[in-house]
Amino acid sequence: MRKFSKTPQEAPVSAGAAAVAADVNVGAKKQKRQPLFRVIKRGTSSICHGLFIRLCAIGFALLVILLFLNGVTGYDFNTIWELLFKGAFDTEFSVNMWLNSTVMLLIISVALAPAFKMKFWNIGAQGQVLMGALLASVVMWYFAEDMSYSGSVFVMLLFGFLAGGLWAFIPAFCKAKLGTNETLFTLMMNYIAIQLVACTVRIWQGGNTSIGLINPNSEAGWLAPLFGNPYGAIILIAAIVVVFMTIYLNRTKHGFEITVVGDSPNTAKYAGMNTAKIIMRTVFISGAICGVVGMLYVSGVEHTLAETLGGSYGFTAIIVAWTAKFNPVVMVLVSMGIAFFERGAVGIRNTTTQLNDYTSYILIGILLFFLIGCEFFVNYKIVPGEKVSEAYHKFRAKLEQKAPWLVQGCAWCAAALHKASATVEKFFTTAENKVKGMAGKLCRGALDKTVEAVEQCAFRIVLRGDKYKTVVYEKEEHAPSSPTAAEDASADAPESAVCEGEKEEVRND
Amino acid sequence: MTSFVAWFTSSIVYGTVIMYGALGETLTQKSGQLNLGVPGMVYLGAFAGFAGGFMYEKTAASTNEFLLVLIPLLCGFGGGALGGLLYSLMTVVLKANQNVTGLALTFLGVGIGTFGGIYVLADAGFLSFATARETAALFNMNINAYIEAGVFGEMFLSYGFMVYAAIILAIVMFIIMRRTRVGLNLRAVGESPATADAAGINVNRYKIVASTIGGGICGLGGMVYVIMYGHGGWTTTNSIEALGWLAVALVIFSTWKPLNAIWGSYLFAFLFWFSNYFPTVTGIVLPTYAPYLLQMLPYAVTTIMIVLFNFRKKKENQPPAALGLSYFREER
Amino acid sequence: MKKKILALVLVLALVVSVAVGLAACNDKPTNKIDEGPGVTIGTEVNVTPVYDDLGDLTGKTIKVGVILIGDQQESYSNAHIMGLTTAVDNIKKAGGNVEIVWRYNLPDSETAKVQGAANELIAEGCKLIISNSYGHQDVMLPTAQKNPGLTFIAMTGDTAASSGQSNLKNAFNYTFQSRYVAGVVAGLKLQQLVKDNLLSSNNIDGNGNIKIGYVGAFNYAEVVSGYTAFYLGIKSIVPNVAMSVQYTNSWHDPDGEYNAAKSLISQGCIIISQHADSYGAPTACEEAYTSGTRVYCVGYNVDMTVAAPSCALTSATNDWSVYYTYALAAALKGETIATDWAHGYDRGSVAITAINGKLFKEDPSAYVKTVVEKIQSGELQVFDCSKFTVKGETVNSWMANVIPDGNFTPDTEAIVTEEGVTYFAESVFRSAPYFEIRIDGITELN
Repeated sequence: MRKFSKTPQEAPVSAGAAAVAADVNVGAKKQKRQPLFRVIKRGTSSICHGLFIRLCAIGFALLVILLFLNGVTGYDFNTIWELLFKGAFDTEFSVNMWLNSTVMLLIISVALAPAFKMKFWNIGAQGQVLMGALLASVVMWYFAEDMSYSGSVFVMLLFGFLAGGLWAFIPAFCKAKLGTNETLFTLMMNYIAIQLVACTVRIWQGGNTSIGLINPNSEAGWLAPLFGNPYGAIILIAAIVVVFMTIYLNRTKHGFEITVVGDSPNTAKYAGMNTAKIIMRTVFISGAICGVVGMLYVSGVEHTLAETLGGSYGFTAIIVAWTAKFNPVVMVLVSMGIAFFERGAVGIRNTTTQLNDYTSYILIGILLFFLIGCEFFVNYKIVPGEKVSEAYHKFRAKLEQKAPWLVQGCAWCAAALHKASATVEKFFTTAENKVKGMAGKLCRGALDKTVEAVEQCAFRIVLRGDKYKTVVYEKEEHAPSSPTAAEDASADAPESAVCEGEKEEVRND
Repeated sequence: MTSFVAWFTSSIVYGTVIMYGALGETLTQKSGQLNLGVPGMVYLGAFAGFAGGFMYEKTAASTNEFLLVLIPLLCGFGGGALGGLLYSLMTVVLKANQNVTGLALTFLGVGIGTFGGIYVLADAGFLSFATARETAALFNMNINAYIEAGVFGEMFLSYGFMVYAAIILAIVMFIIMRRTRVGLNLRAVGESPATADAAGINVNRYKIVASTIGGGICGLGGMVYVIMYGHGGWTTTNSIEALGWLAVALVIFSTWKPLNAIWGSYLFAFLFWFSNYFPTVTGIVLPTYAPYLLQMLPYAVTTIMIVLFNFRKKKENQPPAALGLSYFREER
Repeated sequence: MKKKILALVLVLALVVSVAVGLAACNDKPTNKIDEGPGVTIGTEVNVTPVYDDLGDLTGKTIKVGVILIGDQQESYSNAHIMGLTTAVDNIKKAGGNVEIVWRYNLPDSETAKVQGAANELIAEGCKLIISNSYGHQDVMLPTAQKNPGLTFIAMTGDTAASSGQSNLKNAFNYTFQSRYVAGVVAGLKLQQLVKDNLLSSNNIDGNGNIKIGYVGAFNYAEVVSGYTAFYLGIKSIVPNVAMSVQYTNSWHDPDGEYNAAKSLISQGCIIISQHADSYGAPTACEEAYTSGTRVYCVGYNVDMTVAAPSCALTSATNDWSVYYTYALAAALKGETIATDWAHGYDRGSVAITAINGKLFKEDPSAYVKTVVEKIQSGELQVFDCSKFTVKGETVNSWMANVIPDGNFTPDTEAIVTEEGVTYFAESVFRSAPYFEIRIDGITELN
């Protein structure tokens, strides 16, 4: 074999493959090895099965975490568990911090869901959060004291929304029009955002060591507590975002487009969808919601700007969104779990000197690794190869001779388990169908109509703002039309009435 | 003039750390694996290398100089390689998503590195700082200390061997990837694993080996940071993580070519310390927010490069076509 | 394939063997600096801490909450932790009992976490809350306003007196005194170098002044006060010195401090000191020293010998136990804690670490002790106006910004005359430093 083969530097892969193919005969001469196990993809996986695997994964992760903490601190499992719970839930303030962590993580994960569903790897969540925070804090610093409470909050929300959206739009535009690798682009945007924030903080710092709280005396631009909870407004916004995103992804035309583009861009193109526009629009929304999170941090949580805002939630949320497979309920649960470990680690850390804040990194890292790894067992089935099944059969035959009761017992157990899981499976599917049916009957009409109406209104407002205004003006003379639509979508009665009217007008053109 | 020399020498060593990280990640990415866990692997290597040297110094009655160099090297490489191996097993065998696994590795690596560091610090009895002094002395031993070649000697000969080893490693990687069968196979796996598989190349093996060795090289970078740049001193800080991300940026900046990583890393380091030395070299005072804008430059320039390369679409400057995409034979 | 691996291994082996070969060489590098045999430090330079008379505290107990910016691994917070622990022991000896609830790693910028920690500590029943970083004030002040029955101490803060909030307190040490004494130690070393003609031409600037360097964190009063005191300490021994200050804009940035020190060393500074919490600067000094460039370092908070065994002279430190003993005892007894507490050598709450005898040819400790005694008695004032000039003129009057109003408006005459000595009364009108005068002989590089 020559030491340096004189293959041309820019050899296209096919030529290289051809050159290598010449050596395939050499490979074929080697013994054909029997695989021990074969991996087969499952066609459909039952909910029960998936749940079981995931619970096992969490269980193993917890075991490893407890072993780790035990090894480090010497506490026994009960104490560790107690300390974790104490750290997370002991006082009202701990619970609030836990809620806050959960909710922030949740909103970012939900924001990432549409982008990921479209297979656009938006790794730039942290940067988008920071840009939203930056612009919101600029508003707070310079203008908030001159504005009313609702005015300042609205403007900050708007700017946060636009800043995050724009920050995500740039890589999306380049991906859609130029085909750049979005993972790397969004990743780099993160660090640009961090430095921009650091720069701004430094400029505002002037001669001090920190900028302190922004507007500490007037509390201008600070989100007021809602329902008695300092983070009440944030929780409310989180709930709205989760509901909105669920509806958006599953019930709207946009959601359908996102799914198609994600599954197969070619299909989307052949179906006539404007892939570029869809990508840019979806990623803009994704980044915009992250920007809102940034604004919430500045206005509702920290009341100041720092480049460490949001910590590593931008990255954690990526993993949460992925492991939850865009299912909002699962996202809520996973966010809660991660926030629990984070706050719990702080609790343990405060009682012993062997740990520090980075312990939470390890705990969360372990949990995430197990969750990521278990996906394999959900999607794939391990089928023993021929050698292994032969050996197994031989072993089983031997065992049958020696201890038939053992084999029968195992077989009976296996059958029982199978039956039990089948029953649970059936229960879950029927329950799901029933709920879907009921919910569908109750809500589908109203929901669909509402969504459609809002969509149409937005469309019209955006395209023909002036005309909308004149239509409203004219509408006041006519009697409210389309009472049926107005009944169902009662909350949106004025708009839907107007839009229905306008729809008719357009049709008459 | 001497301020400039100080700037230069500091940049070379700092750049070496980034270079190791970038070389390791280039190797990984050439096989089609997008490993975002570079900060984690660098941190693991930094901690493992430091801990190895430190523990050996502490427990050995009389230290053998050969071992003093070898143990941190092996530990640093091993720490990073373990991270790379974990990553590749998750993505290749368990078919997990690469971005997500890489980020989880960052978490775990940073956590383990810092956490383990606290342990070693506690062991040293002095909680904020511990040093592996003899190890550092050996790693920083250089020719210029013996032959005193003036400014030239200070600028080019006054580094420990790991700096020169990095350049040699980059050249070796270039030669392997461009002129050997193994390198060609590797590139084929990264460009089009389906074709490579059809041609009989064991795609999974290449991916796992490339990720593991790549991770090990990243770990070497971390070890160099602690032992050479920090002179064996360990303290809890997050500057190692920042180095990891700079390395990822450098991989893109160097368009996946190891030779470009050489000068690219020195350039990045030079820019990083610009605001520290520039006022003394030129007498011009920079505004206090200048350091952040300057530290933004590597990332901004890399971003612009990503866009420009897609404009001109020159084949040599593109990332490996199958970067970040998992390969499953069944779905071919 | 195998040949390539072999080639790789050979190359690596070659590189490693070169290194090992160099190491195996027993020749010393030609540029090693020889300090001579060194001396034993004979006199104890520091003042034993003078604690308040606690009286009998039997049966009294209190729960105290402590918010720290770092933890034991961070040298500044570690100094506070040690001070508190010693104070608790002192109180135990007097019969009282203090239970401390710790909260670690709360940076100034994460106000939500700091506020949450403060709220938690209050909920746990702490009657006294202590925070150790300047930025924590932003949370301590509103919390103090909402909890008038509890006491809040914001260490190193400056808003207690001006806020009118009676349950908010500040405290600081006369750190500038220990800096001055550390400067005296450095000056004595410099004097020896001058006498033995060991300075290189690079160490002396165009005006014949010897160059010294300082790595500062931020360009504001606390840092300016520290480095000016250090400068004046050296100047009292060797009059022709010029100091360059480089700021890193961070309290703890090992790489930044390393490079700042490296830059200063490359300009020819022969003494490097710092107001920053990491070991970066001593690392740079040690690196230069072992490569043949003569430079010595003076540290802060902790003994820097661990990072610079060959060239660390001493460090300026704080002993917080004096204040904490006073504050905890007062809280136990139900007495009011002073709004602004500041002491120095008069109570032994500042000190310097062990002088490195290896670097001296004559024992400097006796002289240093006399300086300390003069400061302790008030005979020597660190910021004696006759010892420095601003733009060539002596300063007789200076309005300092004592009341913090965000605009840095000067409001208080800080220069006093006592027993014939005119001096800047630092940390007298307020515990946190307010010396911001840029005196001649010190240049800020950035």
